[in-house]
Amino acid sequence: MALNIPSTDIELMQRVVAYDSKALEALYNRYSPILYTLIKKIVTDQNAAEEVLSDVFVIIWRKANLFDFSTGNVYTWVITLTRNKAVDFFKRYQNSSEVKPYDEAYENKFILPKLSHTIDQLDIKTALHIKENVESALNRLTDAQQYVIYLGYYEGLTQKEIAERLNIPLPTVKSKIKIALSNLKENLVKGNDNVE
Amino acid sequence: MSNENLYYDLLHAYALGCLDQKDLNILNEYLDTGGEFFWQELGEYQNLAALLPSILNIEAPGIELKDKVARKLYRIRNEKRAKAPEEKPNAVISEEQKEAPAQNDEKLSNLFSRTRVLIKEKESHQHITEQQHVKETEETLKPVEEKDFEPVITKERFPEIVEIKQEDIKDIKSMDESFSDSFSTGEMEIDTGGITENKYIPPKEENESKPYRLHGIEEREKVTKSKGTGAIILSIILFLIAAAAITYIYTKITSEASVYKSGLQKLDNRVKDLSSQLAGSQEIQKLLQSKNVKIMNFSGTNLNSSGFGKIILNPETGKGYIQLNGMPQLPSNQAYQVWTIINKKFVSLAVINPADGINFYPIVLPEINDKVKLTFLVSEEPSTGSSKPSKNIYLTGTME
Repeated sequence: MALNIPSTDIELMQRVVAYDSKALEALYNRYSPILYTLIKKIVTDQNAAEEVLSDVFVIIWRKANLFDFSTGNVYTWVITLTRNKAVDFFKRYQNSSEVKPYDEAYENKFILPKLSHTIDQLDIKTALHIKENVESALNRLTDAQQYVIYLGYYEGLTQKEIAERLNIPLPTVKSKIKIALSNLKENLVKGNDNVE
Repeated sequence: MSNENLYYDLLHAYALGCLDQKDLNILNEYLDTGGEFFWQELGEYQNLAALLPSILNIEAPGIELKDKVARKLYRIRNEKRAKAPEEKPNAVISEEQKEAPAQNDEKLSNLFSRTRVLIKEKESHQHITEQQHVKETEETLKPVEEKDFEPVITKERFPEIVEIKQEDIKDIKSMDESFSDSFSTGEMEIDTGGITENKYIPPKEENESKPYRLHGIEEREKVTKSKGTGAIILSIILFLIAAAAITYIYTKITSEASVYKSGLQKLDNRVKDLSSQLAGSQEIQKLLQSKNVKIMNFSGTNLNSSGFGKIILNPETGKGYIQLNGMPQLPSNQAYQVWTIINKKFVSLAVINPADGINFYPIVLPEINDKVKLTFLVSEEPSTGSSKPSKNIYLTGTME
């Protein structure tokens, strides 16, 4: 009897939960390029990026059952997990004193993402579809807004650390992040309107 | 409610993943209680943050990494078997999530509540290459026989990959054979076709980790470069205009300067003339003030009845001046020559050209007897002078 390899992310995840190696392989084939690119953007070193990527898929393999299937959003879960893991790796590499010991509890709390249970569904195909619009929306932000997003997302700096880096008050950083994300969302929606 | 505002303020940074530890703990504790929260908004921002990496220049990992992942999982499986029985999957998938991909796409298009239209627009204007990638992805994920999974690697099917040499395929397959153990069902083969799944691979380029780059902002760099080129061209044009203006001004100033220079030269000459005349006048004045000075008047002849002149002479020194008036203008090759007769011989005293503008011409007589009567003539001669007077005598006079 032929083994059906599912085509949607959700079905792949379901099979990964059932320890279907082919499903994990398919997930790897589908997501590894974007995840590898994201990791390398954060950790910069190629060997470290490969190490983190392999750790990410190990986490997915081991903890796919902790994925909230009601959200139906594998993409955001995987991307966020990868980003968290890469930032954590980078901070440990820098011997940051604030990094806690890495154990199961730590991983479940700080690496595995907690998605909103009302989050819209999103998969990598859709992300690819609207990639240009996202880029366009991002370009419409000011340089300062783009920079705080970069520092927070890719460099993994906390708001306090961003304030120290930029030598600006913490409330200002909080405000900038809030405005930047709001504007990004608004630009993305308006960009869609312009397309229409 | 102040708490609501507090949690709302944390929402954006939480979605981006940059909350301070203290705030993160506060929010996590609250979220764990399941209390009221801006879940819809949180979900939107979490999706938004997850979309950020999609615009990066995608770079696929090396083939060997897949092997590395497989080995790691193999090791974990062994550890797991050694520790505890297998856990049963507890994932529950709703009927909605089991729908066909096409229907799922519609649900996905509800992203941000506005993207449905966008996706439809996108699908209608989708690039052929993206369509090929989508088709290829779906084809590779089609139901596959559990055994004998042999990917067909052709250039048509996977046009964007670097050519895979047959030797590489053989090497990969040999690695594949070494990992024939499965995790639960079937064999986990290293699918060489998997690398071709990397539909996101652009033409191979380095993934530049540029600081402060949210995406491959080559477009922005192009714009910057073009702006720089335009600024350079504009600068060159302005420079040429300025150079032309400076050249014109310089030429004009130079020409005016030359005019002024010639005028100055003329004035200078005039000053010199006047100075010499003044000196001459002073000499004449001095001559007139001397004790013995003789003045003789010339008379006109038949050739020049209106002409007249005089000689002022100091007989002691023999120095004097001659002045001519009412003389006709001569051709340029002619001049007036002044003679005196000494010992029955004509002695030339001066060759005068009245066009010179000089009023008093200096003359010097040779030593003469003061008491001898002297006769003076003014004749027309060649401008270079003559050894004896011609017949054209214009003025005569006798000094006693």
